[in-house]
Amino acid sequence: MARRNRYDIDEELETPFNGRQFVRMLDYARPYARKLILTLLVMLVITALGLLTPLMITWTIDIAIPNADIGLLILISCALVVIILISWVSIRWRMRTMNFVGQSIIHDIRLDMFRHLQRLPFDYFDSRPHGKILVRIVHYVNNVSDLLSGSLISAVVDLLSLALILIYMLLMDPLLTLYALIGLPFLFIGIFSIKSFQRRARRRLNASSSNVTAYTQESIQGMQITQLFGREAENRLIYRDLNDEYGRRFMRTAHIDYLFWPMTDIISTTTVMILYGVVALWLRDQSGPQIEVGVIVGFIAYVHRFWAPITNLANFYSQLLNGASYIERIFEFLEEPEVIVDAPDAYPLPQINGEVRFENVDFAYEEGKPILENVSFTAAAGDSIALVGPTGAGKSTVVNLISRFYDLDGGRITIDGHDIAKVQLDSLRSQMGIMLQDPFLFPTTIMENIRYGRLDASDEECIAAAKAVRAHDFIMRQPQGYETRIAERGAGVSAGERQLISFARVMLSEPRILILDEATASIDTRTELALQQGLASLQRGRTSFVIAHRLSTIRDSTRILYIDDRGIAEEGSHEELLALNGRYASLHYTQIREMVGNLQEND
Amino acid sequence: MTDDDARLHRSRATERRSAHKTAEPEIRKYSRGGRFFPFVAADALDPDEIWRFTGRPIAWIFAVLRGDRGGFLFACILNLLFSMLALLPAIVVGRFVDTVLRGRDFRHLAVFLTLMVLIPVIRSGMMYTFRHIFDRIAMDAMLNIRHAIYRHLQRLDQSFYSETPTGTVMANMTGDLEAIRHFIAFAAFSTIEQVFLFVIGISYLLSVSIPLALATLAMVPPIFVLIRRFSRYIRPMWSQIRSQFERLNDVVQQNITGNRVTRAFVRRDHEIDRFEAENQNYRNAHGEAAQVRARYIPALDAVASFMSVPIIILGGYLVIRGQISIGELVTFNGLLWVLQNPTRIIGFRIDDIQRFSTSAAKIIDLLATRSAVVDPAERPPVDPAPAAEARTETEEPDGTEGLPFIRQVQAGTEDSVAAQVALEHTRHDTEQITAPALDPAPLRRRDDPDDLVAAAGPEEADRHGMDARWLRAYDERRAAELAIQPLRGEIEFRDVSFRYRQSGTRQISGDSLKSISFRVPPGSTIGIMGSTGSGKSTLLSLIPRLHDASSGTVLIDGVDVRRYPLEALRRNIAVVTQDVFLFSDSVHNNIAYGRPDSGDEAVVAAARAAVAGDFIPRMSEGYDTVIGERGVGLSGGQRQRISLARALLIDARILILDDTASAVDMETDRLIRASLNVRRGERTTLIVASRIASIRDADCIYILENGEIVESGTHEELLALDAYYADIFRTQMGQVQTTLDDLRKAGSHGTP
Repeated sequence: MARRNRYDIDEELETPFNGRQFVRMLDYARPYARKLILTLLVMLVITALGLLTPLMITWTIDIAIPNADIGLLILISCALVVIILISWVSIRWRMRTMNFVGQSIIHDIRLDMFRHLQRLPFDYFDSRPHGKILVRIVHYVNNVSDLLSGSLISAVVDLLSLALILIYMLLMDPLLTLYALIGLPFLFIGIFSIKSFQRRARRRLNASSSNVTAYTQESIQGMQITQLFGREAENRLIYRDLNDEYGRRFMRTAHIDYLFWPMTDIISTTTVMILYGVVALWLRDQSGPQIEVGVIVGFIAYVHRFWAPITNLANFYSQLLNGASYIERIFEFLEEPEVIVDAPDAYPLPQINGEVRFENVDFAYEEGKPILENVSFTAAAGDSIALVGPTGAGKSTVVNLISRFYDLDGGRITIDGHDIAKVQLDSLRSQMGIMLQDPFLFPTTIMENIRYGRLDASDEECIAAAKAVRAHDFIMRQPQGYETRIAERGAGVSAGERQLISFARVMLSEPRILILDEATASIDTRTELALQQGLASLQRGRTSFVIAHRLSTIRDSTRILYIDDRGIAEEGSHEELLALNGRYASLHYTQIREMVGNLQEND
Repeated sequence: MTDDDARLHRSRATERRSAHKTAEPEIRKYSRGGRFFPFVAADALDPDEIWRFTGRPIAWIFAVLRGDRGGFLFACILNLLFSMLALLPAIVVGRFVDTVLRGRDFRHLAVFLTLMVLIPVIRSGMMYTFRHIFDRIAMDAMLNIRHAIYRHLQRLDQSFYSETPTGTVMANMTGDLEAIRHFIAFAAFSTIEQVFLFVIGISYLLSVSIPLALATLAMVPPIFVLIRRFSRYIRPMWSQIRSQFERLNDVVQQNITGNRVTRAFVRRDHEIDRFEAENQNYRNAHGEAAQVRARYIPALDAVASFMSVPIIILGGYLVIRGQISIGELVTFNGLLWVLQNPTRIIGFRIDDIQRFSTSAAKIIDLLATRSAVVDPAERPPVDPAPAAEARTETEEPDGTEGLPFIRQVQAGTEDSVAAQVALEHTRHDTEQITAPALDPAPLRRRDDPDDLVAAAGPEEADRHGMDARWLRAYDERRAAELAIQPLRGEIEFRDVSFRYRQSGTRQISGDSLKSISFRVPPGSTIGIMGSTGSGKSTLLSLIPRLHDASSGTVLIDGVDVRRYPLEALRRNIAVVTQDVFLFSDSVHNNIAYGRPDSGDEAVVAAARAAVAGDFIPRMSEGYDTVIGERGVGLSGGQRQRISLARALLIDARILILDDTASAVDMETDRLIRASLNVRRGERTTLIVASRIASIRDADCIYILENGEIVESGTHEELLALDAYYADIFRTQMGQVQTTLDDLRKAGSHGTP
């Protein structure tokens, strides 16, 4: 596993923006190609209509007024009104469509990202602050929508009008046109020299903003601890540092952005100045071609028109560069390997009986730090297997491997003879009932939380499951019974209660293989006694893996695996392991010593 | 940051507050400026005062900009000059064409050409300057607001957090703040600019031709109508978008946090459906806004274009009648864009403003949320009766509109409003009320003139409008000072009842604790046992004031906990919570969370004491290993031990262990207890546990049932009582007996 990221470390970029990513980005615009092309046409209409308006004025001044033709004046006015109405409707259409396309593209990208998120391994979530994931999915996408809809179309329109104007200018006077283009190389040099600064600054800005978000989010989630430890002031200092850094990077980016407009403006006006200068010198020295003053004025008006789309295009390029810093992050995310994937020829795991077999399993979270080495054991269908041993020895790892949350480094695991690496992941996991150490509840009602185990379960079934795990009584004591909402971090219900609810959730899912990872640790002795019966009925006919420290939970298991740093140290039934008088037995001595003090005295 | 920036950054304490203060010239020294908007008197970022700005986002933001108003005004003026200079090149070119090209007068050729280049250069310089100022001010304002929210979040109690999804707050802290920044950096001045240009344009056109100008002005009423309607209809759209954005954040946030569960249950499709619903709603919300926008913005555009119509028909007519010259008509037409442009642009600005308003409203709401648990320096414990009196006396005329709002925001209690008003009176008296043991006096030392912190009392720092350097210095000082304030460790509950106050979604449930009274002498160990949900955690949470008792008093060293400075109180209580929360930071930093400046030795010692000294060095980078958010990647037992080490490091006189060894194996549990026993007499320890072994040695054991203490006494006394405890003991003993029998049966006679 790569080193975990923290709030104060910029995430490194793996693949910087490249043409391929831009093309993939355009792919997202493809479904809306028809709308985009139509919009393009509409925009051409709007532009053309915009050019007609001055013409109306010219007609008024050149034709209608000299002829004192009031009828023509009215006619022109009417024509103008018609033009305005058409462009009104067109603009309206364009606004709606562009918004729709832009938002749809955002929607599509976001959906793809969220889909992808569902397939990423635990590692992805465990190795960076969650805020940084949130930022990618929710925020980055917002920044590219304009780029792919409105701006893209405008750029095309600008290019078209640029070409038209250029042709027109060339027709008017090729030599002057050459002078008018004198600024272009400077503009290109300018833009390209700013480019690399801008890219770097943007990237650093985004990383910084992601850091701030990550810290904010973790601060909110861990606020109770912060308050309990009176750490507020220190955290504010950290937060302020992060934000100051963000502010600095923002201003730096802004300063670079400011350069674009003045640059194009100065270059374009300088070009015009040169044109005027040249013409003036021609006139003074009587050299060069003799041009009418009217032609010059007209030509220069076009030079202005020529530079307007260039300025727009420069802006578009700047926007593109800024967008690129998001696009590269988006694709980095979308290309994040899923790691645990169905094999190409994966087949659905049929309804299983539950025989689980570990064959020489090796596994390590990090290279060189093996957790399991050459572990083999078999659990017959219907067996209940207890895993005991010191914390951190790898008990949770064993059960995580059965659900294929991680892939093995060596050996294989089979269920009913099917290698779990070769069956479809969903078909495997949906037959498992896993109760995690840390029961996560959704901020919705208790009923919905239980129903998460089987989405089509009726209320009655949910209640029956709750009764079976002895959760019913405490749920009924809640202000609104099953309709009581659980707060986001499960606040309002105790850890034991949360475990009961999540137990009911598993119960409802009627799994073929049941996995309880420290699932009843926070439940008091009395409730646990009652729970035992529910558990026993749940275990009947199912293979189950139970990790627990309470010996009472363990002793009735068919088989017990004592796991330590190197794998399975002892294996056998309760009686067998006691007779072995090894580490499992010594757990019992510990317990007895705890309860009765000196063993001999009581004996 | 340079001095200049700091100058721009500076703001000051409020009018009203300085009136309360008797004499504090030092504060005045650091406060400055901002009298352009005298109608704003309250501090815009003070959670206690922000309700005055409810429904007045513009007033609010100008109050936030308080110290920067001078800069803002300067930049606005610069911006207007910049816009007007845009007319200059046309004039210069016109003169150039007339004199040089037509008049063949080449004497001033160089001057003309220089001017042509100089104007854009000057304009560029101006633009660079005003954009820098606007961006700087906007960024500073955004960061100030963000810090204020952060600070405020730190003071909100757990009931806020249990009702507000993280995603919602995140949406506020990102999207809404960005909308505010955009407003200050761009929308605000651009609106002013457009309005200004419009007005200038009208006066200019009037000077060219009065009848034509008047005819053009006929378009003004429709513009107003359109703007008003657009404003009114787009606003709810924005608030819908913002709410939908919050929900989108919530869904993603939950999905990320619950990633293990969604995978375990293979609920990918379900999750995608859930997300897709919000994702679509979000798109639709934007779509609806676009509909409204498409109704008004093109209409404004059309109105702008319609301005040309009277020129043709009326202008043409007037010229034909000989009332105006054709030159006038041409000039008029040439200048018409100064009216048309603002009309076209104003729609977008209205959109920006409404977006800003909704976001600002959300931020104001968030900042106005009141915490039930507050530091006595902010709001001392108030007796209901005098508070009510104070309320009738002090209600200011302009304050009345804000009061109903507080009721809404605040789980609607009368006394909170009363307390709010009483606060105005009592805040400056708090020094006398503050508890003796943890007097924050050192924080208020004034003998160091260079120290910014010394300039004002600690409560001053809570004025968010303060200078950034000041706040930083304050935080640094506070962090250092709060660490060392010993308590003796006597705890007493006097007739304490508690019920969770849940506003809105939940009904009020019954009392979680009912008339609890007990006293824990310093240095003793107390065990607490009871069934799931009997109120054990709730009881413990009252000691470090995660909640305040609904009635009755919790006392430490004989003083009501509500009278201690909150942070100082909590720093003296080490708590290991039932749910372990670890930060995605190194193991070292997690353990040193309560005392960030701790050295390696202290951290290792704490880890050893928590029996975590063996597994941490075996992690990939030992104490520098970064652990995942919430401690994922560690086993439950490992997390519990790190969280225990974190509590032990601060070496407090009160140690609270809330079922902290549930995931630890029995042997480790025993070692932990042995380790805690070493220093047993030095601190008061409260232990919640379900294993008899964990609490049997306690000086006193309390059994909690349905929020009441049903049994209390030592292990022996409770056994003699033969009730709940004895029952649990028998059950667990029975299990031991079974174990013994098993061992005998197995023929294992060895004694370890």
